[in-house]
Amino acid sequence: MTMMHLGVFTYPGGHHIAGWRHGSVMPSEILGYDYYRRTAQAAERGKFDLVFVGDMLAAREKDGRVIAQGALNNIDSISILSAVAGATERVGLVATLSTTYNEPFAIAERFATLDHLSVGRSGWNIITTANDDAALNFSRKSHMEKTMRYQRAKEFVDVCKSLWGGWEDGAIVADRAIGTFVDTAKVHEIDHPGQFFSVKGALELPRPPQGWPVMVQAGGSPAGLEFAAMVAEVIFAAQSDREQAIKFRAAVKQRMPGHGRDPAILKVLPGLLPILGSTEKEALAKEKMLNELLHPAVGIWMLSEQMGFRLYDYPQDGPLPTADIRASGGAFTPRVEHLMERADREGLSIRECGVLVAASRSHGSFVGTPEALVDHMKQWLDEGACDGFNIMPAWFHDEMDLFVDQVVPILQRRGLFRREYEGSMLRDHLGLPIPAASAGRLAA
Amino acid sequence: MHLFVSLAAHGWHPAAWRVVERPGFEAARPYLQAAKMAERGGLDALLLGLPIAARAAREIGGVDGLRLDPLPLLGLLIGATERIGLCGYWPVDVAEPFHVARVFATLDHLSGGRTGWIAGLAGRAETEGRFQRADLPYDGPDALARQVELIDVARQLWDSWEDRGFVVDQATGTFADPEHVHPIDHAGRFFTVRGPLNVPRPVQGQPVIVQRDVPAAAQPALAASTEIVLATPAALAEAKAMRSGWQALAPDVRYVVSLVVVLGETEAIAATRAAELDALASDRRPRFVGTPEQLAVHLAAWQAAGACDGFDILPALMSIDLALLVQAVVPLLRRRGLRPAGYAGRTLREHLQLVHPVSRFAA
Repeated sequence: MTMMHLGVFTYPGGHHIAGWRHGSVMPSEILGYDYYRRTAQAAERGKFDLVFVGDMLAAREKDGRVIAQGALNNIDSISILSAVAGATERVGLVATLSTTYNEPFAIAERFATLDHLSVGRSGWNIITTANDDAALNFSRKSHMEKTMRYQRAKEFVDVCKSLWGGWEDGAIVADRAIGTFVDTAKVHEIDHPGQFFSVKGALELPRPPQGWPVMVQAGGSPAGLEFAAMVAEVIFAAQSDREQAIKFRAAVKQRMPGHGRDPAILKVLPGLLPILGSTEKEALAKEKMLNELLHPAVGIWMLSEQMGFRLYDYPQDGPLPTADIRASGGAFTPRVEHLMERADREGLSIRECGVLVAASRSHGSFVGTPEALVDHMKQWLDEGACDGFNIMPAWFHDEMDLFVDQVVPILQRRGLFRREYEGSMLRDHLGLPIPAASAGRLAA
Repeated sequence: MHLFVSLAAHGWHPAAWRVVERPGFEAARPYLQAAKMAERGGLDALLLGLPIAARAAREIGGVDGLRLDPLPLLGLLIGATERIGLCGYWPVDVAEPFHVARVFATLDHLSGGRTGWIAGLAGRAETEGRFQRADLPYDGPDALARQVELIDVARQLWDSWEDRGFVVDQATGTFADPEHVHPIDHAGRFFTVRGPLNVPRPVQGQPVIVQRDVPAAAQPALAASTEIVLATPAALAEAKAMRSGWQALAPDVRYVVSLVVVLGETEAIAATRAAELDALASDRRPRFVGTPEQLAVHLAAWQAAGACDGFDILPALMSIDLALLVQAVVPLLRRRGLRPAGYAGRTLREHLQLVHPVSRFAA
């Protein structure tokens, strides 16, 4: 039977946008080390494949002011994951960094370090940064156009792989008697004059234990899909509809052979926000409680940001003005398209759409009992909609503990999830091969 | 007396790796051991990143000639320690101020206010090939001007959240107070940054700003932002002159002397150890060779002479010299009243008795 893969997406407070308001959350602690240590250790207790941290490069704001009720985004991913690396032994550590606002040499060095410090547990969620505001924090007048961003991302990743492959295995001799530490014949400098980057040199670190970090990707647009087919080993997808998820996964897999890649290695892990109760009624009550904590201003703001369309002056209880939104000529992400279709179909109001977006940030969610959740997860897995899930607890830590203690044992009992780790590296958990040192080298 | 230790995997003598039992590359273990040892000795902070110009450090060879990125290493040590300060080198040459501010604000929160930023320039030789960017100055006055502006923008971003900007009031659902979180709207020669930062104000207000081996020509421009300056004077007179030079520019700056140490229970043991290491590889840097008692006397004498405000110890061999520093030298300094009995505070600023900066945007 196919085994499922599980990640947990950390977040300050929780993934439901009002989750941080739950009484069990200690808001003064959500930026501290213990908060993240606890999540990572819970994931390891539950034999999760990985812990995932996102990345944003601009504050949540409107007209130059932060959103008062808007909660916080992830703080720096590499810092969090390197801090918890010492408190865990097996669980993978997936950090998000943008190829649009970084330089390949620095990022190759940073991930090589994380992979060494964690002895082969790192993953890199490669993003091109979707929000235009980031440009204004990085001395740029406007955000790079999407096609260009993905071209840059491809070259960025190629340069990193080439740097990671620069040291052959066995380059470190460490022969005390003759005083030779490195066999320099086994260290290869790269000399890459490219379209976006020109890089000459070698990392001053041996090859990472995993060869290179597990390559994760999160975009769902056509350009993102093609990029995923080229580089992704794991896709963190925002999919809330099973049929669409099946199509999406098939579409990426179909494109992989064209890039010389085996589709069987790909693991698609949609986000999943579970709201659990011992009965369905209890779970629904929990959902209602959370949605009542949600400040309406947050929903309208998140909706406006995602659509690139200001909804502030429309009546909140009126229908989502999809005709006006489409007429604005924006380039909509698949998530937004999906939401607009649903709003038209179900006649959703702006307020209702706001709750939908804010509650799970357009990722999938599930409300019910642990048994019913496992049925739901199994159905997605069986029908080819995914290879597992990136769990997004509504708040930390209760909801994560609930999943680990009540859902994981059912998954294990039903043969859907591992009872023990079989290896120590993230590539082991995901069944991914370790690339050869020469695999990433760019042609001279 | 401030007391720092520069961390190495094996040690700062170029032959350190040739006299240890496990000479190969291990990323985490040696640093975790050294960090815990230093914390047992109540040291003020660990310094991560190359303590001398990178080229010279590479000549050290062995594991310590390799370069782990100091920032993930700093992150790792947060979980392994509770009180000791953690200063990391992030060279400014190709850095973006928003990244620096975001990462250090994160590290400062995770560590409960224990971070410092070694905000140096790596220089053209380190940077040019790896980051071939037509817009970067790499060296000279323009590189210095960029460095000054970058540090300033990072500090503005830390200030963009006032202490009272992060409200997190669960009852009203108010996360941040927009009246106390500010765009910075910086438009300078090298950087245009709107802000605000998307991490609340660091625990320490701002991480401590550290500089190492600053050329004389750059000192006036960096004086305003520098709180700790690490230097490698050859003799006591030079140290006194350099310290007064800095104090003329920045009265509150702390001038800290970096020193390689080779220790032994007797003078003869220390001398033999130094000779054995030197026979394997030569080391021409200024250093101290002697007993823990002699080192304590030496450090006290420099401090009393007004040559410095403390020391950055570079153990020739971590396993021996850091252990002796913690077990033997620190108790002697305590007896002289030069070191506190333990950590009185929680943050690096508290250890160093540096003021908590008030946000420039606070009314």
